[in-house]
Amino acid sequence: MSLLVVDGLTVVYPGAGRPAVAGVSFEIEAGRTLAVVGESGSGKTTLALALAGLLDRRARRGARRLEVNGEDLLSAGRKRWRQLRRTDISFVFQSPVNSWNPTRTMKAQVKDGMAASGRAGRMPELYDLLGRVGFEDPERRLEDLPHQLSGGMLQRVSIAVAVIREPALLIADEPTSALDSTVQSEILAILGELRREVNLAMLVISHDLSVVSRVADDVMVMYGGKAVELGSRRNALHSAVHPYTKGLLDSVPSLDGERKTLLPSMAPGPLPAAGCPFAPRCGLAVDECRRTEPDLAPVGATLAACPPAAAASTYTSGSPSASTRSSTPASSTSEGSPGCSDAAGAEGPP
Amino acid sequence: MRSAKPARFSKLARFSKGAAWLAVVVLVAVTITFALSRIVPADPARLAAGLEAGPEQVERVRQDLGLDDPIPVQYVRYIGGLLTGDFGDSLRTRGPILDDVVESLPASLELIAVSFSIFAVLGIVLGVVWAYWPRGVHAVLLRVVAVAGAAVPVFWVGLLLQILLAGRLGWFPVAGNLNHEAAGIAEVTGAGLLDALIARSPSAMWEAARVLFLPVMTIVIHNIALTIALMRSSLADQLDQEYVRAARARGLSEWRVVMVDALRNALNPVVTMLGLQLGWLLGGVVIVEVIFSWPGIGLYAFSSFQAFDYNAIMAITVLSTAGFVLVNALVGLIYPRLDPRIQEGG
Repeated sequence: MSLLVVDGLTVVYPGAGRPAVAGVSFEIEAGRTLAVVGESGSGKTTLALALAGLLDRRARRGARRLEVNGEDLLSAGRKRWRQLRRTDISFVFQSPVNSWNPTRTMKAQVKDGMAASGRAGRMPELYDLLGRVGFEDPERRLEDLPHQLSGGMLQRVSIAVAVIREPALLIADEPTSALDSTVQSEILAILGELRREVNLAMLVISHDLSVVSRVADDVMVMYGGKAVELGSRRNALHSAVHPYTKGLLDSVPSLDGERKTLLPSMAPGPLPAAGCPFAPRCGLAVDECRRTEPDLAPVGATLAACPPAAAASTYTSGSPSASTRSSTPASSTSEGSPGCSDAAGAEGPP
Repeated sequence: MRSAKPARFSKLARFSKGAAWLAVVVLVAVTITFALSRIVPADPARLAAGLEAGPEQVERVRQDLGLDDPIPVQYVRYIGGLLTGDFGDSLRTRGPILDDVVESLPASLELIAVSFSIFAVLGIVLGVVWAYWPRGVHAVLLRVVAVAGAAVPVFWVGLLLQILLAGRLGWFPVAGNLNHEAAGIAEVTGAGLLDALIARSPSAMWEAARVLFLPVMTIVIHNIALTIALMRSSLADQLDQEYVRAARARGLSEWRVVMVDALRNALNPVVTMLGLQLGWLLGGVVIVEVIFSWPGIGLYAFSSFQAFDYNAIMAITVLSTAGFVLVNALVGLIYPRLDPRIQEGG
């Protein structure tokens, strides 16, 4: 059974025309990592916040199903969400500097966090964990104020506080994009290692395909609030069918050659009111795309929300038969080999 | 950086620097006031001698008061007097000004302390409520209070309260301070509430609170508006910060997130403004005291202005300047407690 089940999740901010997240469905099993990829404004952060009950009070959330550990969270109140954040769901934010109150010492804030999850008296365990992830002399350095520590150090603390409570689900919103690339590698390695130890499910938000190729088991590509492609890491990064995913992969610079094609820039202005949000930038777009919003459907090796691409692929390879809308073919697919560095320009796992 | 010795030394250095600044500001204020008192066309000797006095008498008064000496000599003499706590004699009461000040100060301090405590505490609480629950009936009411309170002049509020609550409804005395004799308590400090407390007389305390009510309300209505508005916007800013969301993500209770993390940061500008407001009150209770015949330093100042009692005016100016500077120096000591990134006295 999947640890996290999301079906038809929609989030609307008041005053906004299009929903920030529009009918997104996926599942994550324990011990697996789903990476959500997309550009700014694709709704990936809103999705992450919704899954931790951290949405702005004004945001409207709706879904057919939203379950963690088999518990239905559609009707969970603020108290229940807080309880979940204390025990089952941890969150790591993009900016380590902004994740901490600038005027209180790290120790005071870390203690608050530990106390919230009922571990007030277990600070030594946290010091041990911090020491293991390369945070030297944690007991003394935590006396400092946040601005006296580096971004990498602060993010180590964020991750340690998030992981030590042994959550079932860790949501990391761009956990490394505010860090330089060496530190980024270290943090990813730490995340990977701790995740294996605790066997937690992880949702990683990123716009960086090299990060995705390093941490993800499955990949979901978002555009304009919709999931446009969903598949295992290998398939999503190598056999992508959605024109947006392809464009995204083609935009990654590689060492041995020049970029193939650049994704056409987004026209200024809002996304189209109806139809596929990507249609204005899409080479495959037909009239139908501008009228109806496509849903995820099996195309080739992944799920893609693109009827024209599906039509093209039936000629060439033929799509696997799928009787109903299965949410994650990825979770049943075998893990891809780590040889996707050519597509993503990553260093590969350490 | 972490060793104790240089920190202690620099603390002392910073303290002396602060004290020196205080002295300089007060000296400048004294000099300006002194200059003004000698520039104005009114003749203090003439006023002191009285309307019936002839030219010779006026001259004698002028000599008695030292007003025929060259201005620099008068200035040095005045500064010398200040250093020994001598503010000169009042032209009106003929006694040392210091005595008058000491006599009228407690009533003013009582009025200021009570008003300030109420609008500071209540303003912060209401601002927090407004920032945390920005929608609803209470938000509309608070907006009205914040806008109207700041816009309406003090004297108008005072008169309105007098007409309504004292005149029409008769709930409060129109004006004046507690009559210690009538209340049956001894006059120890001069501040009615405090004296009643010392005498442990509930009825006197009730009476003292009743006479305080209208002038306090007048000051509170005017000053609370700014406190509420600033507290609201400052806390709303903090609540939008990412660290608040991160604290919630760590499972902290709303109380801890708002009261421990966000409020502390949001208080910084509010404390600055409360300091300024308290400073203004020290010299600015004149209107309220005149409206309510409150026998404090403001009423004394007003009478001194009318009589052109230039020594008293100068004394009050110097004292309220010193009070203002002192309050703000104390506020400066609070900052590092709210935001440890700020060095003390820096």
